[in-house]
Amino acid sequence: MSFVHAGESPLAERSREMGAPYAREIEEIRRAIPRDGAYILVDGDGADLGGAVWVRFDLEPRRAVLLGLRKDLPNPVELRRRIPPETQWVVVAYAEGPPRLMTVAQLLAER
Amino acid sequence: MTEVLPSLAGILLFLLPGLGLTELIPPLRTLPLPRRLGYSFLLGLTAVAGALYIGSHLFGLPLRRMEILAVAAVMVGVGLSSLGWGKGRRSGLPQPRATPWVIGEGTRWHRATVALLAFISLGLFADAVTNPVTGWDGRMIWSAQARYLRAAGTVDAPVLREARWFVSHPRYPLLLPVAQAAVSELVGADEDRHVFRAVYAMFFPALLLILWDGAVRWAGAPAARLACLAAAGSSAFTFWQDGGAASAYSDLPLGCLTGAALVLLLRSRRSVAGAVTAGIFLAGAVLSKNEGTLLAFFIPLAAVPLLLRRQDRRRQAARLLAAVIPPLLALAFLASWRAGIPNRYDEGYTGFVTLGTFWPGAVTRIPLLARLALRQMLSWDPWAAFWWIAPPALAVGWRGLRGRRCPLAMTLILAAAAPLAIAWGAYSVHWNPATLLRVTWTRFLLQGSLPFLLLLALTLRDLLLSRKLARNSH
Repeated sequence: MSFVHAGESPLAERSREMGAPYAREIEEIRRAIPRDGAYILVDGDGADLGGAVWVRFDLEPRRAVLLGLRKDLPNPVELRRRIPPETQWVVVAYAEGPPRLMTVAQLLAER
Repeated sequence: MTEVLPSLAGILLFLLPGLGLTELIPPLRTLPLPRRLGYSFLLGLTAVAGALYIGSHLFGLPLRRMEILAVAAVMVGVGLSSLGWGKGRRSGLPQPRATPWVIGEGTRWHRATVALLAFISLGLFADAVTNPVTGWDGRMIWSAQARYLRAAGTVDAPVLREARWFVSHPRYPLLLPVAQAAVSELVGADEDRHVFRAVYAMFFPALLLILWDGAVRWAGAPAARLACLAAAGSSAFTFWQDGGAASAYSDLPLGCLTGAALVLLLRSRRSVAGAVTAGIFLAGAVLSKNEGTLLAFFIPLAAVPLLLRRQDRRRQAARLLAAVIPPLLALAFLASWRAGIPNRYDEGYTGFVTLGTFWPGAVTRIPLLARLALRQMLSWDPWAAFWWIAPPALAVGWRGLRGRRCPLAMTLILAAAAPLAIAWGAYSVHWNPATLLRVTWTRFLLQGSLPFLLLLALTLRDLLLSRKLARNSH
């Protein structure tokens, strides 16, 4: 089987392993957040299914602040307190399906 | 196939320094090259990655290409100079007889076995150069940490030392992530390239070569061949993505390091250099995984039944002491490195485990856990037929563990059981032992696999001898 995939690009490899929409979204997020940057990571699933761990790996060495499950996020005042000032981006991760990129303002507006 | 040459370079980064260092160690220097390669890889990885780990934390050595090359080159140079110096010094003395290729190594069965095992190892290499890392712990811990280390150029990366960042198990020992980062840095690979996977794949042939070295000595070539084939026949050792050589987990490396230490400690019975080298492998175990600390001090204890039976007890006691010093130093280093890292996203066993927490779970959970463990061992994925074959072989060939080989068998049983005792302890106190067992039991078995496979070889020897005797009696 290995010879079938010889010479694939990293994007093709990730598409094969994780699905094309996931791979494309990771590329988009990488373009938005610089390599030495930081972001807020939110688990979009109803329970801890590991989506955040998976997405964090593909975005490293960008540093993540984990806020936990999206359904358990606190009110906007408390949420703002927990978000480091240097972070502008929020990545919502799912165990199945591509992650979603939004701004901190969008996340706060949703609460 | 753009990954092939960089992946080979990654293997050589550890293999060549290891070959150099084995020149300094008489019990390894006199081995035939194939058997020496297994030890060389482990020694090179422990020495190079360990030196980078220590150098980075204690002396601010950057984890960058020139520094990595310099560390490796020093070790290769030490070996080369030792080779030249040793040849000159030994030229006037009677030469020790080189260890012969043992009986059976030239047979067609042997050639067929070697060809099959080489084919499987090449398959692992092909998988490593083709596919990204997919196993859970590889992405959550080891490869994740490696990316952070490489980006920061230090083992004291701010992302580890600042509590706000999301890092799983930030205080886990980093020998393997340092090795990964060193390989990627050496070949200038970006994050998406998985050149480091070949290093993990190498642990499978390394395991086989060390198994062969011990098994051929204690059980003979035919039994050693069968034990190697038993390991190769189970994907738990090979293509299993959650702990085998195709993964980026630390369990198989830990099993190789502790197993190599045990074999070396037992087979180089007069050599202090051999015992120190076993200690270096044990130091590697301490720096590879949390359980490594417990195993590193248990392995010399397990060797006591065999070594202290000998007449030169004082020398053996000195050798055991020599084997314990490197892991003690590694433990002190680990404490220093961990001191600056706030723990988070971790079970934090040390925070709540006391002697009292083991009771009554250590007893009451046994029926449930034993059932789950057995079910996992007898499942085709990842063990194939291994646990359908090995226990009956042990039961039928039990005579191979008696008599002269009884102390050796005792030592191997203790060493194989040590990781399982750690597992039992963890399952006794964990809040969800069934889930923990589901994701860790096979990996604990891998940690103790080398002594278990050696034990299997001893019983297979008995079975093969019985068969031969029965055939000759007709």
